[in-house]
Amino acid sequence: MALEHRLSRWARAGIITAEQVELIREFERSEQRPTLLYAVAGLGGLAIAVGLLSIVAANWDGIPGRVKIALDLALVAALGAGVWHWDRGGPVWARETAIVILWGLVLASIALLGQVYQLGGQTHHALLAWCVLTALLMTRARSRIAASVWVLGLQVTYAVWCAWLAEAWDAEELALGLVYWAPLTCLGLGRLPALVRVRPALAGVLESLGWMELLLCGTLGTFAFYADASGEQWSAASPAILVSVVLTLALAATMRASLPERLLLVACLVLSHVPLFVSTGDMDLTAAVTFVGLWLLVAWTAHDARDIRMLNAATAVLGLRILSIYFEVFGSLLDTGVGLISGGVVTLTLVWLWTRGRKRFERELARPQNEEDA
Amino acid sequence: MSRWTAIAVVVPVLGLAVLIGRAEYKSRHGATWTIPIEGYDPRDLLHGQYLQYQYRFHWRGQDSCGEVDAGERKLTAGCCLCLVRDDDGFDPFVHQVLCGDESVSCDSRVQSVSMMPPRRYFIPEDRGGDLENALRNHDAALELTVSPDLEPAVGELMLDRKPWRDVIGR
Repeated sequence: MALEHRLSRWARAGIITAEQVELIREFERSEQRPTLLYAVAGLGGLAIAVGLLSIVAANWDGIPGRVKIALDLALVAALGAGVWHWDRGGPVWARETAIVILWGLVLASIALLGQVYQLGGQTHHALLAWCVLTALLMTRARSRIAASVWVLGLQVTYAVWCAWLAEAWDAEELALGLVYWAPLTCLGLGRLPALVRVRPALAGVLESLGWMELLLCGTLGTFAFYADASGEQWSAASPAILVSVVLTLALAATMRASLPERLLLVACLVLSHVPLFVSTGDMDLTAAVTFVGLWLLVAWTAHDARDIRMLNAATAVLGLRILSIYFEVFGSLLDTGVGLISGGVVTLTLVWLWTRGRKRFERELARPQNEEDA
Repeated sequence: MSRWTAIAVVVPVLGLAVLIGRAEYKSRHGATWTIPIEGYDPRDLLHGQYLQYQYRFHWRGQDSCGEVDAGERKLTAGCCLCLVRDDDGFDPFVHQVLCGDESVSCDSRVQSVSMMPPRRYFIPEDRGGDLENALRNHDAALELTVSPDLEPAVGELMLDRKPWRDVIGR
């Protein structure tokens, strides 16, 4: 609808001819992907996968264990045949859905094996087996939803292994240090040109998730300035942190990225780790300043990338944080009428500034790049 | 492209088949034992869909491996339990030995780490209440088959030495 509206506007203004309108329309029709269909089918597949897990979890006593195992294996094989069939002749949405269901079914099958044979195994072993058995299958998927569930599944497995490491080796700090590797790896893989070319949906998911989690780590890190870390043994995490530093610097140096993006990468690393070593618990001002600095950097990166949605989100987060800083500093005044009035004034001022700034940024970002450069 | 997809769908089927085959082999090959168990937390035997238990060993003989805590022998990682048959394999005598020490005569050896508490026995969702009551009123034990790789394969849950379904009904 938006395209049709624009095409008729450009045609009326004489910018493009009727033939060009038809050519653009034809091109867009051929390029169109049924995103909604993919999303709905993928969600349906995911629901079936979760349902299968629930059935296994119920450990229904009505069917003998070995019969359940045989039926399960037959279902896995049939679904595998379906994936193969739809990969050759389509439809693509059916293949993607079958891949997601098969991915979930393999985990359910491993759980079923554990139940029937009372293996009593560890969760991290089961998850690792699942990841290994389904890795090649998931590389065959092309849709964003399949990529999303796969990457999340891998991350959950990694987190469970980190938790196991923390418990079994009594190495909580080291395990926490290892957590940072996951988003860094995601970002690095998501920026690999070969992966972007061959599996754009997977690369997109890896990059988005990587950035999101790095930002989350950096943001949480600023709050660590409120806690006293002097009693913690964070030096035990040094080997993991050293690897994170090397990975971050390598990424910042090699990936095709703008200056603000590179700075953001380094800022996330610093804010995720440094507070754990230096915080004395009474560094409220540092916490506030580093938070605001981090999100200003996010806003700059979004502005540079002409990403209006990210820019809006970053400025909104900044506004909320500034508001919370006001309440932190003047919290005791809230008991009085003056405190409430000035709090309200600060809130309204922030909203006014945000609205003005947002409109200006939208106008700026709507302008073509070359016009801006000139 | 299709060849890679074919391999991608065969891998999970084959992988699961291997896991099933391994579990079947372990449950069918090796000596079978029945070892008494008790709730890991006597106040709270069932956790959702599984019984949380620990083995109640019949310790006898000199340990050549393992730790002792406050006069009680402790299962220790890196050691093996030496199982010695009493009569029919029920409640065998046990002591801990070095896994590779062939000078000690055992009817079976099983890695101590595989027997450490808490253990889980999966139960059907709708039988939890009945089983919890039965566990309080009957002596519970588990059938174990010890495979040549010193790993136990857990079999039937027994109540008063009978399969639990025979005791509380199907």
